[in-house]
Amino acid sequence: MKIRGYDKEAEEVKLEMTPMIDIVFQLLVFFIMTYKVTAMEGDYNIRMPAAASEPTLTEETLEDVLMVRLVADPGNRYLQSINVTFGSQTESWPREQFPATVEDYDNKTSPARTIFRNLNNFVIGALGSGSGDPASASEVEAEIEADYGLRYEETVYVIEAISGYKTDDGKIVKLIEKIKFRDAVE
Amino acid sequence: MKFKKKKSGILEGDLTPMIDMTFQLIAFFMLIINFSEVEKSEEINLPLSELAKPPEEPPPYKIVLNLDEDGSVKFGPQIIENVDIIKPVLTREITTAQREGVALPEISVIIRADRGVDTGLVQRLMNKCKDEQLESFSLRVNESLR
Repeated sequence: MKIRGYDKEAEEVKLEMTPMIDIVFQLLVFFIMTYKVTAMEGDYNIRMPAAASEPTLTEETLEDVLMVRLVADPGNRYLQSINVTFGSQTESWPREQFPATVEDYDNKTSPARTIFRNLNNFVIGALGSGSGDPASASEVEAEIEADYGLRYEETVYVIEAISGYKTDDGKIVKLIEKIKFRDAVE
Repeated sequence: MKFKKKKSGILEGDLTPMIDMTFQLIAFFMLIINFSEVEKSEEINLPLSELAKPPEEPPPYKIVLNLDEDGSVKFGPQIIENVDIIKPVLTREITTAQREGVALPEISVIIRADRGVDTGLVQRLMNKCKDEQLESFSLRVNESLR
């Protein structure tokens, strides 16, 4: 049977692609242009409960507190020395070398950052020599007392040294997680 | 010999694979785009640290304070010239958070301080927040890969 009006040629609907492609490319260009390559940002958490609810330091609790005193160089505001007290142990390190360039400073193995490595090693040793079980490490608190004018990044490196280290295979080992600040020394 | 009759007219390429790819690209860039960047101030050079990791879950309410090297605080588009006059901003944010049902201790104050700023100034900012009963702080750093 022949159906009238049934024409194979006419059934092929042609889609007009051009406007869609135009829009799609516009969108693509927009998203590419607004895309920004940014470094990932991380956080160091610090809890500072109101002074009233804070228990006063007694002889007993003092045992578990690592006191870190940061002394700034009055001239360049970099760290001059670190003094730490943990239980009966006290230790002090002078800064051997100030960072000369930003690259020098960002490089973890540079001599300008020896002072932080010393602190890190001390914390590892101090936590290890305690009661021995790793659970007690989380009980230890650190209290930082810094000079007012100390460059903030130096404080961050100190927090980093206290809070853990990275092993050669990239694993993060946590040391002290409870970090507090004492009022700055003006 | 019989030859197939060649269709005459405009030669049209198959656009399907190209459109597929383009949509894929759009989807990729759409997913990766991060609109939370608005609260970050561009001028601030964060300190570098390799241990800090991004938080696993976002806090229920956060206040992002950008502390610039000159001692001013940038909060969103707002510039507070001095750390000491930050109270109104904090009070307003706390009210907003509480209206959303977030308890005071759950509010997280994220401090993005410049690497060259005084440590004492960061502490003063924290103390100002502490005066408003805020107690959870995060010091934000850039993850260094070295």
